[in-house]
Amino acid sequence: MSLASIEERDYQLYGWRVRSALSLPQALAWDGPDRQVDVEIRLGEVPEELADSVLSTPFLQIAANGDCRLEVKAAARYFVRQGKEVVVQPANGASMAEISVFLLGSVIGLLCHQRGIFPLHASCVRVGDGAVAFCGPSGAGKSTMAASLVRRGHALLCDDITVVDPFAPGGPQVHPAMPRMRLWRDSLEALQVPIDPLQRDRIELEKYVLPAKEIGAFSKEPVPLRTIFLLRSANSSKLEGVTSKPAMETVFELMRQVYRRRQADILGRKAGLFQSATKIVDAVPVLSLARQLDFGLMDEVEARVKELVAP
Amino acid sequence: MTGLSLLSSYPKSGNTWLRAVLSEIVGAPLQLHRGLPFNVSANRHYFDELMGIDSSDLTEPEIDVVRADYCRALAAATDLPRIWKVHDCFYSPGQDLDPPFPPEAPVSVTYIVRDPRDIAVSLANHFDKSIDEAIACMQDRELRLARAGPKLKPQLSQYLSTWSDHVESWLDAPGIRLHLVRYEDMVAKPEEAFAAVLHFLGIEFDSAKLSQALSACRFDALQAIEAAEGFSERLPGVAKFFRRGVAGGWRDSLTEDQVNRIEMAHAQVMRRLGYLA
Repeated sequence: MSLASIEERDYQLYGWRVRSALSLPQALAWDGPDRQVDVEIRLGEVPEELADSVLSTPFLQIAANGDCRLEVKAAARYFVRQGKEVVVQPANGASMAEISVFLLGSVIGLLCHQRGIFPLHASCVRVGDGAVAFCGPSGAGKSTMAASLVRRGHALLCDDITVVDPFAPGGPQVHPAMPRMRLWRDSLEALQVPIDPLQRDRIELEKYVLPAKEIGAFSKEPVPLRTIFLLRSANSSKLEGVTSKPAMETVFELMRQVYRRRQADILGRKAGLFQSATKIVDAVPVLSLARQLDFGLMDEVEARVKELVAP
Repeated sequence: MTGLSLLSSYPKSGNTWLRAVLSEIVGAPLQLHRGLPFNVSANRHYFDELMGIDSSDLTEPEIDVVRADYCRALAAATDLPRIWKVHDCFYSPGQDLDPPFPPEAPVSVTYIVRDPRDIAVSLANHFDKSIDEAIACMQDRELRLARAGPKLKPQLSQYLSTWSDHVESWLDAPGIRLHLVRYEDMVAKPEEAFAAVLHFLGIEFDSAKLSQALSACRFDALQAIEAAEGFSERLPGVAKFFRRGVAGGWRDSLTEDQVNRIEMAHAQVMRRLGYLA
């Protein structure tokens, strides 16, 4: 990759103004007011390792001062500091798509925890004037659920990582991420989306980038959070009622849905996440949804969602 | 480093039944539709959490090379369970890779074996394949579970190798504490077989509690729960996870030719375990 060809651009991501030397075609250009840049992504050298790391995995190191270093050998090294600075050192031969897939995933998670905000492992759509988040582990069907609602005319807000501002003046709010989703082949087939024109971030994997406009719309504006669904896979689809668990149990359940929860704890976010989750559970119903990877329940889910977000 | 306790087996060897009984003993409610405790260590969620990366964006070789690191992280995570289900072969697919469970991490392995002729029948049902295909799978040195494909699977890809390799890799694994339990003994003399496992795992129980757990997890009881509530570990398109639960059922399910093929391929290990004279 030629560094000379790189030109800085400003993008909007999760409500942040992101200035990036790397082209991020999946994100929207910044068109908000000319305010301070929130996150700056630049190219540069990233050290082999961090001194005094308190966490060290083959991919991620976290230093005692909160600096993070992520590396995927085929893609890049990423140095993430103070929630506002990302240095990227691309690997030889890595494609832009390979470099950006970890930047727009794990690095976002680290930035969130360094910035002290609340990222859910969730996909999120706007239904009416409220946001509905679908949480769950990988493979639970977050993106598929969101995509089928986008398909039904509701606008996409976030895919895979949903950033919630629990303390927004009118109650918890969701900031939109990017006008794209990432879906596996089987979900695209179930949604009857033509796969041939779609790009993959990693050529080895059957996970495709689906621009929201291919199936519906994207919401550029932040939206109040109205409902959280906890997805889990099951042999049969079943929409369970609003969790009748005591609120405290729901708070802990929601904390388990935080993206990169363990790294958040290491970055000193335990108490902060607890406060945020408590605020969210106070304001927003949390439901459990057991589902198979089928679309049999979509009418029911959509009806229920509409009812819950109705003012 | 705190050790791990692994419940290891080739698929369809009684691992789930053992987990059901253990969950009764430790007082976890038996909710098959929500899945059993003692999750599979190859569960993607724990890998992503501990490694700080999304495994769904990694290739199979990228995951293979860090499986040993993942195991060490699992062993070091004191807030996670100590007992895990495992279907991996003890060895890695790459010759120069550390095994996915490096000997310094686990303290103990309960390895369950079952007559490969019975496994063939059960495997065919579980993966919705013909018995001939199941027999071929059991002889496949490249065999993996939950391989990356068109769909994201909740588990990481796990290298199994052949049934014989799988059994011997664990039985002869250097540096691990091993307890071997035969499925056939779990069926024929459950009190004794399960008590030995519980002793090995260091789980306290009394004989009344064990009898109650065994009766709650009788095969027909598990079948009834599965029929009423489903079982989250059953693969899509398969009618029953808990299918028959007998030892020696192969006698009325396999042709002579199929029996011969299995016995030829696995004779040495079958003899070692007493499945062949």
